[in-house]
Amino acid sequence: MTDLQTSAVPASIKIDVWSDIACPWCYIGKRKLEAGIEAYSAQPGTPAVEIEYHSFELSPDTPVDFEGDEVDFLRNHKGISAEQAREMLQRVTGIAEDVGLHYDYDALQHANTVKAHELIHYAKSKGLQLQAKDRLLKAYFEEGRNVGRIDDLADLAAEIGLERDDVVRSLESGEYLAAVRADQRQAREYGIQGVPFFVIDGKYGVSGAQDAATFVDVFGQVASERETADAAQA
Amino acid sequence: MTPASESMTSTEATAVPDAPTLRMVGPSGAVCVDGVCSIEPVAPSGQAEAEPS
Repeated sequence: MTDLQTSAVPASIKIDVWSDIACPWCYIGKRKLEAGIEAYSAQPGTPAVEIEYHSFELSPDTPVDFEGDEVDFLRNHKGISAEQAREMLQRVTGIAEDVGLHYDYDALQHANTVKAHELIHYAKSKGLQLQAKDRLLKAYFEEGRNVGRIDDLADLAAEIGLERDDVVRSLESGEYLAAVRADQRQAREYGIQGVPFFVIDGKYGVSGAQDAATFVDVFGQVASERETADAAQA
Repeated sequence: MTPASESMTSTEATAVPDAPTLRMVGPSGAVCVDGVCSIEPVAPSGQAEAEPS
């Protein structure tokens, strides 16, 4: 996958992203963010952009081995009619296609994502967070892979170059559970209720899956305000 | 899981003492809340200050 950290001279723009794996807008939003970064970075003299993902569980009550499909989950756990749920999934699948993602809700295995979040933190410690995030989202939405069970997560981790046995050890011990909880605590402190949610330079909030052009505008605004602040201090 | 078909401009501001304050920028996009991804536009979350318009 593409490394999104660009090389530029000014101090980089930091984007902290709160998101979940079982979140169709988060995957769509990720693609749009990447497109926005690519467009912004193509402009001369722009700062680099650094991304860090943070954990957010949309449905922490989901069993690790949930029996049923996404429609069953929405109907039984969220009180949404099967007809409405199917319509919702059809619509989001169409929007995902628009950004080159091929959601397969027939194959999708709804799962508890806390261990997936632990894996993302583990991967961050190895310098592979972005790769892990992307691999898990693709596995969940496009490949019908299980992202709740440790063995399945370890297989996915090995695919991006992580050491499978050490991943199993980490996930079984809950090595990064505290890091997941810390992310969730920080989200609560920010008042984040829905994802994806983007915090830029620790000061600006952007809510939801935005078009690439919106991100370009926001990055430009951040860079401009930095320049103004720097000039005032000079 | 549902898409929000329209975005809306961020105007809400909520503040909690001692919580970090974010300045909301850009329109509100589609989000998932509590396991459900609404078709309808969702008011911005975050301890946010509205962006001056």
